[in-house]
Amino acid sequence: MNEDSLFAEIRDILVKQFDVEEAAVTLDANLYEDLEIDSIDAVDLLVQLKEVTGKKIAPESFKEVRTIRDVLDALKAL
Amino acid sequence: MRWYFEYLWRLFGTALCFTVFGVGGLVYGLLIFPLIFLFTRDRESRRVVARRLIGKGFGAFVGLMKAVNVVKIRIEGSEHIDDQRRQLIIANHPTLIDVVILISLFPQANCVIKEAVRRNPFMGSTVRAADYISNSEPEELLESCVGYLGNGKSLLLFPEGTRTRHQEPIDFKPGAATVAARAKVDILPIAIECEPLYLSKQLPWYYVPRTVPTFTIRVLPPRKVTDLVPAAVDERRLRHELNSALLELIRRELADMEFSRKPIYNA
Repeated sequence: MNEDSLFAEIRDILVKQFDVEEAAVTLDANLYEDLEIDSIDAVDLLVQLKEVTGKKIAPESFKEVRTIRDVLDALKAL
Repeated sequence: MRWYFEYLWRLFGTALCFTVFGVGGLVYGLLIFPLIFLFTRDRESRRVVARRLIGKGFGAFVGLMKAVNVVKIRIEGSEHIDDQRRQLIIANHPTLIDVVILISLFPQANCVIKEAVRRNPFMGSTVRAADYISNSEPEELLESCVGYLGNGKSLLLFPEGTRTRHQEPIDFKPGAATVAARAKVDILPIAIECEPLYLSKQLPWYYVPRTVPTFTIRVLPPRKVTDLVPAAVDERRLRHELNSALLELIRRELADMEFSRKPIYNA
């Protein structure tokens, strides 16, 4: 899966399940500050990304993640 | 002078209690529980036996603490204590021994335990036999908590996530409310006060106050999720509102306990 389609997947999850405005989802948007994702959402997001990509970001490395770009980088690093 | 001897006695008593807890833990972990693993192969019955033994051990320990007068314990609302009921038990967490007191009251309740404790050679067999939930993986943690309650059992969580910091108002993380919302179970709120403070997060174990620390364990009537958040809202709103409602509930009880301790001067 390439980066663009991954980004689209993440955007879909955020918009459909976490009530985020589509326009707010940019590469540099901060999940916690700009998109108002809380720790429980972060866990849910982790589970769904695993379903979509088949790759599992370790919770410890997800703690370092702040922006959507960080999420993509973390997935790429796997 | 008298208070000084009392103080020395309680300092000694505290050291004694810690020692007994340690030795008791070793006997359980190295002797009794390995035998239970040997003779009880069935996980479910092993869990029940293990938790009964832990409940008895903790009960005896609480009895010892009261007998040597290192603490006083007052339990309110004991009519709401039902170890067989399917519910999420939540409590604030001022001291190290809250969990010991609560497990002695609700021995069959499940709880979440640090992965490091499960792997600990001395305590590992005890907590593995009791089949407590490990905190190792956050996504599995939520799922295990919800799933466990789904099987009709009870679970104890401290929504603060760790012991209360001194002088700071209590605050709850949203995990416990999320579990209640997803499992759709009743909630049994418990407010705990320890006055004067003892064995709290920033105090060393040998800090013993001048007067005997008195625990008030106030077991409140069980609440339905819909009692706390009546409006139909989506799950994200529900867990936030439920979390705030629970926090408010416990804070109010703690304020009430504090108020009833202090005399009123300007009456």
